[in-house]
Amino acid sequence: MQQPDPRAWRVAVVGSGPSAFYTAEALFKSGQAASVDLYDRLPVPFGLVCFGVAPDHQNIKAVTRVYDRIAGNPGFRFFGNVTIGRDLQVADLQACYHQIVFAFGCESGQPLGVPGDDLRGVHSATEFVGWYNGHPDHAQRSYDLQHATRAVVVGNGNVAIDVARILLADPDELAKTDIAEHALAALRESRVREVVLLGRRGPAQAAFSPKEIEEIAALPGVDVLVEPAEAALDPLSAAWLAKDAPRSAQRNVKFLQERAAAGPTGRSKRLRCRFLLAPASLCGEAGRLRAVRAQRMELAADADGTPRPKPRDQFEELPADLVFAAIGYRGVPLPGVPFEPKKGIVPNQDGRVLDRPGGAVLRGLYAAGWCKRGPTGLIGTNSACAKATVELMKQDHAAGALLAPVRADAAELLRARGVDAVGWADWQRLDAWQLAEGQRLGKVRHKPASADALLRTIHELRAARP
Amino acid sequence: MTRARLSVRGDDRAFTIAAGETILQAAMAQGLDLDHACGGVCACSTCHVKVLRGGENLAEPGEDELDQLDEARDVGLESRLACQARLLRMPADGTIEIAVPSWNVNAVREGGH
Repeated sequence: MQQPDPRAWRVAVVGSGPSAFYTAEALFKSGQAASVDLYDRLPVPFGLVCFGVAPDHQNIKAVTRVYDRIAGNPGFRFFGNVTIGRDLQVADLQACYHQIVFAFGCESGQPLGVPGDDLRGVHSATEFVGWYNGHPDHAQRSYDLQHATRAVVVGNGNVAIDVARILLADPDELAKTDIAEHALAALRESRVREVVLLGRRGPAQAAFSPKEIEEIAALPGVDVLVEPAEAALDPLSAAWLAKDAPRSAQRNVKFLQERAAAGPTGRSKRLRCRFLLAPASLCGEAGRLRAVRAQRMELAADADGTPRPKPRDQFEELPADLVFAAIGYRGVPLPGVPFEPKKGIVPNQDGRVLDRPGGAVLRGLYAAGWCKRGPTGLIGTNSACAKATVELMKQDHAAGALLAPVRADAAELLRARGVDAVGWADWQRLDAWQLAEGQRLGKVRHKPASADALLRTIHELRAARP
Repeated sequence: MTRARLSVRGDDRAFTIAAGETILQAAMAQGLDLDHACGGVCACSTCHVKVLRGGENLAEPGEDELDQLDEARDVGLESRLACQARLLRMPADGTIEIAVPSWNVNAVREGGH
């Protein structure tokens, strides 16, 4: 592993997902020699691009080509399999770098928080997504798909759509992707025939991208069903749609209203989009989920005119064998880093980390991506977000408002502590191996789904290198 | 077919673009570093450019591109995503002229160590 230039501007980035790479990119384009080290607790890079983006969306996963290019900068290093707070403390990073950027995202899912959400059959979409993507944290989970015919996915974002699509897709098609083998085996046994997508608000407020919902309608053997009464817009939403709505909302409403008018065509599987319904409680029998008791909502303007869901005294019971909560991600605090529990982010002012929400700026510490602004937006949104943070880092660098590193190199510290860090060259060998194994197995990539298996392969490839 | 001139406002260098190529492909192949956070698959709007001249020779924007542009900053009628704007035919005056929004201009300094 090459030595960093001791005169250079040395930056540590905690995380190696999109916001971490865009931070590195902006630093490399800053016009000053910077060395940037990315840390990840997993042995492999790319965060949610690897473990969040659905396996049947390989065109989106191809964004890693952009990250490969960034990693090709001579100032770039990767330290995988290094957990901050265990292998290295934030104080260690402060002793090695001029600046530290937290870009560790939001790792857990928002719980439903209604009675019965501890029943068997109730799951977090975040964990399910990690499971089918081969995330080492979630590989051991199991989902009783073979005794389930109806699943309810709570939420109206792209994660909810991903979960619905994976449940309804043809396993033979998924087999060609980089889906985890354990997930494919379970999906082959699945008897799920209907997925109900539950939105608190109406079709005009759906947060999914039009092409995502349209993609489900294009799946072979799947009907997309919408209740005509729920597809009709309330006056508030209709006025908003005609005036200020983004194009994507107009396209969603048009598509959903067309589906409502078309009705079922007798295909064997169904996505049922239900709107203006929120789970009030989950009903079970002998500890096992049986149904979702959903409460009818209506939209009412809040103080600034935004339509908000308001509960009505009307309930509906939706039979369900499985429930997936896809109502957002939630940040997990990192030891030694301030945390704002209400928002689940690192407290910050435009990217400069604060010692507490509304508190004082901590010199040399920054945040980018989801742990800066919360879990919203698409992958590319993090590019602008990271650039904004790097602008402040440049200002502080120019003003000399930096940490005062006393150690030359964190790599030495890791070696001295016997940490089995994974470097970029290790990842490149593993990447090539995963692609070759995938080709052998008739899929785009083979992903071993445990950290141990990944490390074992990394060690074998390292030992075998020419 | 010969290549059309790809003129970038504020940049003196001579770039070209071939039929079938996107503005992003042409730019990247010739060292014009246009940001494209999603990798050029119409999943963000970082590669937003304004086509000042010759836009009628590019493939019409699709629904997905229009959705992305709708959420981009400072969008005008001449806005396109460079990753989707593919040259269909040679412009009559041989030139496609674009402007890169100021916040997306990065001096090409990569590797300047």
